Amino acid sequence: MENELVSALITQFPELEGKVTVSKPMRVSVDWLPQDLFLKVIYWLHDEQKLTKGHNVIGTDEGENLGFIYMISGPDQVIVILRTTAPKSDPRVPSLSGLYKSFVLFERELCDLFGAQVTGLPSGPRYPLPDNWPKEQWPLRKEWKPENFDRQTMTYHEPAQPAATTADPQQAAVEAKTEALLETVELGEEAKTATAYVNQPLPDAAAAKPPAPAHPEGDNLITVPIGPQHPSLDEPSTFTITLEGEKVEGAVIGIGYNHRGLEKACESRTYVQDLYIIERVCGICSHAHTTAYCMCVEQLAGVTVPPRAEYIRLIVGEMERLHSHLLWLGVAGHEIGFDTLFMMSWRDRERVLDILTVLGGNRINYGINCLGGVRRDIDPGLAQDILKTMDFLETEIEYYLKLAETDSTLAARLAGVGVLSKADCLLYGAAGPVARAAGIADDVRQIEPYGAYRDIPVRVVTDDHADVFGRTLVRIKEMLESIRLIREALRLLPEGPLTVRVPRRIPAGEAIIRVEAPRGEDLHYLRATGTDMPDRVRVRAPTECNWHGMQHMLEGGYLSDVPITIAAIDPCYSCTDRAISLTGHSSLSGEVLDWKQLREYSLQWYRQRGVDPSRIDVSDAAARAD
Amino acid sequence: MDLIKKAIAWGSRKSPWVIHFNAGACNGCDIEVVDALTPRFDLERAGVIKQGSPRHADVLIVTGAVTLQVRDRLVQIYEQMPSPKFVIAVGACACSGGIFNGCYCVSGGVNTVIPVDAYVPGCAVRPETLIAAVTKLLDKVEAQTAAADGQLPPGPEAEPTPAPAAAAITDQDGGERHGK
Repeated sequence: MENELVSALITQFPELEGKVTVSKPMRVSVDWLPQDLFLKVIYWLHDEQKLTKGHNVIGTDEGENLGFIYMISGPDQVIVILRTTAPKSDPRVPSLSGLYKSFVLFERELCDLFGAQVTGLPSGPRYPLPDNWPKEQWPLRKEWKPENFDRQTMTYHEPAQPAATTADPQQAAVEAKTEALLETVELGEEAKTATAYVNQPLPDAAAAKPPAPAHPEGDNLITVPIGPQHPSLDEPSTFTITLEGEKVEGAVIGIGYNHRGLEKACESRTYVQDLYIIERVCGICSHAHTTAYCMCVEQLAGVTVPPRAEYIRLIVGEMERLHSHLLWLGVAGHEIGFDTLFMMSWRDRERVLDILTVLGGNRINYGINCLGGVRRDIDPGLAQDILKTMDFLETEIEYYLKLAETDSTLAARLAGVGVLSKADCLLYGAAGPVARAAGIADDVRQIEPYGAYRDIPVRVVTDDHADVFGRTLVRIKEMLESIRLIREALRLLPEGPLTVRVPRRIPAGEAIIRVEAPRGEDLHYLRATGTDMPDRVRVRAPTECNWHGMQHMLEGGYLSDVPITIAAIDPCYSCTDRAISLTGHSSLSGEVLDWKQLREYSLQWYRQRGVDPSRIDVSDAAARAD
Repeated sequence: MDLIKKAIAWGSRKSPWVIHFNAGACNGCDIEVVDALTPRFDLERAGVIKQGSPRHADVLIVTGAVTLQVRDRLVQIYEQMPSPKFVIAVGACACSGGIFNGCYCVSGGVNTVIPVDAYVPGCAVRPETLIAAVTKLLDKVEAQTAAADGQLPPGPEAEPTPAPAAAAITDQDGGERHGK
């Protein structure tokens, strides 16, 4: 597959001769290309070779230049890695969000973290840095040092520098003017929007409300701002939902409240120290993240993990899927007001956590992985305990499956809600259970088996409901599959050592590893330069793919279905760590109502329907309240 | 102390309503906070109810290293809570910034932004530790109430047996600030 693609590429673009390599199975790597050639190649790959899934865009600092690494794949799932650069003095790069809808988020990140000017990027709020972040500060550039940044005053203190060359101000003004003219002439309307995004004044917290109402039919529309503290999910996010009656017309979801800047932190720590940071990217899928990270380092160091360690990684990974899906089932139950289900599934989840505690010593962030293997062994006694727990869980989960398939409340509340069809899933690059619920057998454990999954094939669970109901069924059935995998792995558990030695300095190179986290494909990028610290670490969490289809899922639904629709992708903001804007209908820009206006509106709404709230006798209730 | 104040003190002692805010945590502590309310641990037996709105809450449970984007919002939430109010910093990150201390987008522990009454260590915090913290905080509330009422705080005999995983409680600025 890979070689066919390479030869097709070279036949089409003879200038790529010697620049395309198969870096490992399932990866085709193209060397740095100038922007015009890069665009030709990526358009050709998209249109002719049908490489329509956008995985990731990574920004890098290449000294004088900024580097942009794009990862795309097609039906045969080979990831093609394309690279282009732009000088830091003129960091313009065209947006590919027209080709790949899932790139919007990644390209916003290039703007904020690297100071790239992505021309043609749809306008929207900034991402992922805070609203009051100072201008012209790009934290992921190498020369930017976190220790020079005063977080109280939000100012960056330039380190003392040798006397700067004094440029002629007149000359500079002329240059700036010419530059501005050129930009307008060459790039047209799209470019202006993009520049406007990059250079827009940063809103402070008070001014960060939607623009003034501009819609003619505004009488029927109301904008409800919710968050960042809100009762539905456990993580901070803002929802600005435009409603017509109960119907959602548009939604803007702001995340990024959890952006901590850990990719920069990883660059100033050693590989071993980074393991602990990566473990804490997310407290739920910590094992998936460390597995991907360890596999990156092990690939670059050229070591082979002992088979026993691979099997233990599988067992812990599947146990993580069990506790994550049980957690999700509870949250889903809670969102639809079915708190009994919430309590029951969380009670069962404790059994999984018990096993993980015995194994790793901690309930969350159990830290099983270490570079070159695993930290703890599964002894025969523990194996027996695990099997007993699996028997218990199997009965419980089969009961949940029966419940989901037969309970009329669940069906009424979940079926037809948050639909994302197969075509839309492909368009927006959905991953994990969201894609599988739409009938796409997209599971990294099967596409590109890693570790012990090579020995124990996974039966991928799919469903064709394409809605929240389908996602529920997929997750419940996946738990049964996980139980099967754990039993199988314990039966085949090979003898041998747990770790191999990994050198402290990792040879130069780059690794792109994907693993199947409970929420979908988790993609890690690691670049080493031969020192004991990585040069660039990029964590692309599965939630980051699934956010893009969110507006589509929400629009046309009802307000009361918003929490379950959002919960149905099993969002994890700490993983995503970043912000997204889902722009509503362009004609329906929102407005903010204060409490009084909201009250007026609701009175009006009832009066129009023949109910006069002022005539309802509340004196009794008022007297009691006093 | 007049009757209203007595009633409020009694209410916050017998049934503290908590609100949980994730200020940039990795989700680990957040799940454990919710976990403490589910059947295995069942913090509700101490009268604790998780609330959705800060205006209804007595206790603010904050998890995670406070990110710069959250910083102002956290202050807003704290200010919206009615007095007397208490803050529990849950987890290593909330106590000191933890592993994320020094990251460019992290302000540090919760006490860099709002005053904190109880620090609960752990990464991630275990639900038992959280329960211990809540019960200790309740004892502290009771001691304050008693002191304000002219009574002596409860002696060592009256104190409940400490839970196995002890939670650190500080008294650095407790009594006066919540002034009763």
